[in-house]
Amino acid sequence: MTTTAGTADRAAAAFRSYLAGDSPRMADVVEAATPAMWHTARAVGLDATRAEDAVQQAWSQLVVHAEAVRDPQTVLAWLITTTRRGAIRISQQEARTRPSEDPSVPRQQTSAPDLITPSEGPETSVLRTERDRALWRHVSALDPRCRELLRVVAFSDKPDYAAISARLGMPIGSIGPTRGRCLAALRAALAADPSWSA
Amino acid sequence: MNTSYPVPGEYEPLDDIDRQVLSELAQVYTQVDPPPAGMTDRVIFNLTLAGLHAEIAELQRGEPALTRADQSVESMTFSGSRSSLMVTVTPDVDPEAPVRIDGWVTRGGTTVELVTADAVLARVADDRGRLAWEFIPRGVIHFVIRADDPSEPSTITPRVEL
Repeated sequence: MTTTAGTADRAAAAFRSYLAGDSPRMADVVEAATPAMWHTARAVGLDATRAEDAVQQAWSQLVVHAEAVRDPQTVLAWLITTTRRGAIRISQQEARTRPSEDPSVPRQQTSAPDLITPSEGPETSVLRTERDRALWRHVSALDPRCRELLRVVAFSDKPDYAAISARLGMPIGSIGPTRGRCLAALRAALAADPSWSA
Repeated sequence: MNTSYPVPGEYEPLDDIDRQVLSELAQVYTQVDPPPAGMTDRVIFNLTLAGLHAEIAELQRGEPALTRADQSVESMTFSGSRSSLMVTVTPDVDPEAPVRIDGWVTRGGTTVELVTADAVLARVADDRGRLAWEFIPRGVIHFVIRADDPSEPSTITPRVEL
């Protein structure tokens, strides 16, 4: 386990100060957590405008219901979970307003609908190295839930991998942070690819 | 997850290569799909408003009414549950010139702040609730109606463009 203060620790430290009355420290919570929240909302499949809405809503909820975060140390995980729930709700509202939707098809309640595949939308031409392109290729080949999990986890703190994957409904082991199915699958694909040598 | 077979290595503890892969993955996502410019600032701005624990007043815009030949006065009413503020904006003949703003708040003695892009101009209403601001540059403004009791929430109006 790493001992350097990661995203979760930075967010938690600033959030504790905020709760203790140092309100400007909320800006530090925002700086630390917003990238992870953005990638969480995008991983659910929202376009940029709606993804920002989902992030804004999660922050509003934190300010109004700061007491809902029972353990300040988990504020990043709370924000990620809240962003994801809000993003799924926004995504379902959009799906409902689509006229072509067949009402006889039950809607999935627990998983994110209409996941974008990483090969569409994002600007992949910016990837400069063969190593980055190889990583992108292999992560794109994972199933959507693994892509979502790894995208969210990559932007949170490494020790949070177990907690976040459990919150995303993908527990990866009962004791300690293990690699988990998604990361193990990605590792195996990368190991077999000569253009990505770790 | 409906896959029943295990993936090799899935129960191994996280090692340095795993951390390296996740860190490179974050870099790749940052390159292909970064958060929009200014998003963090927009979040902080919205939270600053929310942090005042303020109520957002509703805006009812009045019809522009002609008073004198070349001056149209616009009135707006902001209604909150604790207090309401009505303002009229009297522009100069020159459409680019600063404006005068007269306000009436429901309770005399209330402090109302006019917030422009670069200043917060506080006024205390007289005993009949009247307030006035002169030479207000055009742009986006909003008002904050301070509660008499500091423990009570303030009321913030939506932003309006002069």
